[in-house]
Amino acid sequence: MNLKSFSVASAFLVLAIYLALLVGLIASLDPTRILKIISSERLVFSTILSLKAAILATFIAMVLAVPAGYALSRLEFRGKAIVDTLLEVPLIITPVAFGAMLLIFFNTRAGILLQTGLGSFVFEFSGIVLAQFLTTAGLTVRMVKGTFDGIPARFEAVACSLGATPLQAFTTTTLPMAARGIIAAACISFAKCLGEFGATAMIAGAMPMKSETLPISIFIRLGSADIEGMAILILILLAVGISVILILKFNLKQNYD
Amino acid sequence: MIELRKISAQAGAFSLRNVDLKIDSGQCHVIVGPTGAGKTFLIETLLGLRNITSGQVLANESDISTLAPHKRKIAYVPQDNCLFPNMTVAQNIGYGLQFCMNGGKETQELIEHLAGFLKIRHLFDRWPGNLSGGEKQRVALARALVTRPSLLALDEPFSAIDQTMREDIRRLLKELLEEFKTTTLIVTHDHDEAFFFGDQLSIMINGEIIQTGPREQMYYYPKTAQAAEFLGMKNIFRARAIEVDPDHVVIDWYDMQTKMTIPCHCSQKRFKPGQDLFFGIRSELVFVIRPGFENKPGFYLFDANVKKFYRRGRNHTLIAEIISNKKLIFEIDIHDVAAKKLEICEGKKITISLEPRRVFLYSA
Repeated sequence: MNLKSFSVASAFLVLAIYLALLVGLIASLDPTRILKIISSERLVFSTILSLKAAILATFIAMVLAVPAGYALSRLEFRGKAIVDTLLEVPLIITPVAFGAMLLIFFNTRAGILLQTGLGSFVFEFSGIVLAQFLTTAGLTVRMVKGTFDGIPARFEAVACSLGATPLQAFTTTTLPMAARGIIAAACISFAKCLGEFGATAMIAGAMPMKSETLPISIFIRLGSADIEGMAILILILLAVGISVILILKFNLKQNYD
Repeated sequence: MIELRKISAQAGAFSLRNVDLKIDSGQCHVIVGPTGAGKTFLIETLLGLRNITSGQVLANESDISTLAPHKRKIAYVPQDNCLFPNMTVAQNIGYGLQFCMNGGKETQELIEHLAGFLKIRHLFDRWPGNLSGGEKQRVALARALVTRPSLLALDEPFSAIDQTMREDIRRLLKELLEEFKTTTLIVTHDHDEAFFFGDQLSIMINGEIIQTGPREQMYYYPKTAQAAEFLGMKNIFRARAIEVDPDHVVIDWYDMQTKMTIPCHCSQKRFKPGQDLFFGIRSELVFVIRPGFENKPGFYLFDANVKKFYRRGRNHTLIAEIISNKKLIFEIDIHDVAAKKLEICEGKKITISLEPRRVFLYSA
């Protein structure tokens, strides 16, 4: 077997594994019950809750990630190396551990003070958003930083030499050029928020019709042996995930010609 | 007028040291130096993108050292032009106008004039990604000039342009600078380009300006062998001064056991008897004559063998090895007609003629 056929066969093997899982999932469904499950109040609640929390968490992550990514990419400041390293933390510790850290933090004086000012996070919608935000923000900042890294700083230098203030130079040159990467970062962050389970379960619990996001709902339904309901939820998550990838692949072409 | 007074700046291990530079209004000053000399760093310092550790940047006598880059009125055209890819050519050209008060009819006339001069009117609706290197360069120049800058700073302006287009764009830029009388700073590693554009030239090596002067002076009288070599002087040899009078220096070219009397050039450093020095002669000023050809009085002749003969177009280059000391190598530019007449080929014996007034002396 030569290198070309080995490489192609490996690619198809990976695809075959995923397809087998998908076919198994679809085969487990009873077509007559699909509509009933999809229109059930509980599933609609889970889907809307997941979307609301993921959109909000992604929005907050992006609002912080654009300036933070810019600072890490372009500016030199004290503690940059530490910030850069700490951003990797959510990528290397499990979300459950992250959730546990949050719970411990909320039991400290600072955590109690914070909750007194901003309201409770534990078992609340805000807790879901916080869990999703914290497990995603590091990755989001890293992706946005990567986008800025790919755009030479000289564009802004030229803009400033033509009279633009640093902010005007950024908003008229680097930001529009980075738009594709920033939207891609938002889409991936959104998909990651939507699938977040560990930290959400630790902070907001796994309570039906309260903190039941799609991944938590999958977990609850597995516990009650509701295989069909679980399969539908997985398909919904898959559909959202694949849509995001398709948007990235086909709808974000940035052709200036 | 733009002036740098004893500017020092640091970036990691690299530093600019005590850079003095004066660019008179309407003049073109070229800084020439090898890659890594700090030319781009100097432009960035001038633009305000780098902090200076000491010294002053002055624009028409007022100190702009602490001014933000957008207030300095120094329009920058980097090596790769940096046209904004998210804007059309027209939007690129008009970019700077939204930040300054130069609106109105006069500006419109300036845009039209520039567009006509640079032949870019037909490109206005195009995107930068579709332009050739030469077109990008012309648009970048228009974009910089519409803001009526105090200084136009060009960083290696021709490095991204095809060889075939380069000469046309060079001439166009030269005419443009003369037409608009724009005060300009060009940094380049190409000494031909430096002599073509510079009213004044500076040589920069390792973060320091080692010599500044008008074009003619820099061409004929570089102060050091290093400067001479960088400005295209190919034939530089060691020697020693043995007799010095106000008009002449007698040098001992000890590698050839020959003494030569060289006239002193007015701006050259005075030498002392016994002082080690370098002498140099440009490759286009070394003559090749037929062996046995009658010598002109005062010229010095050396027999040599042609080691390599590189044919180009109209002018060729030959590398000649002195027969009595094969360590001494001359590089000589020779016109095609002369090369044919002398039947130059590799291995051929030739005679090299050095005219003393074409020889320049540098301290060791």
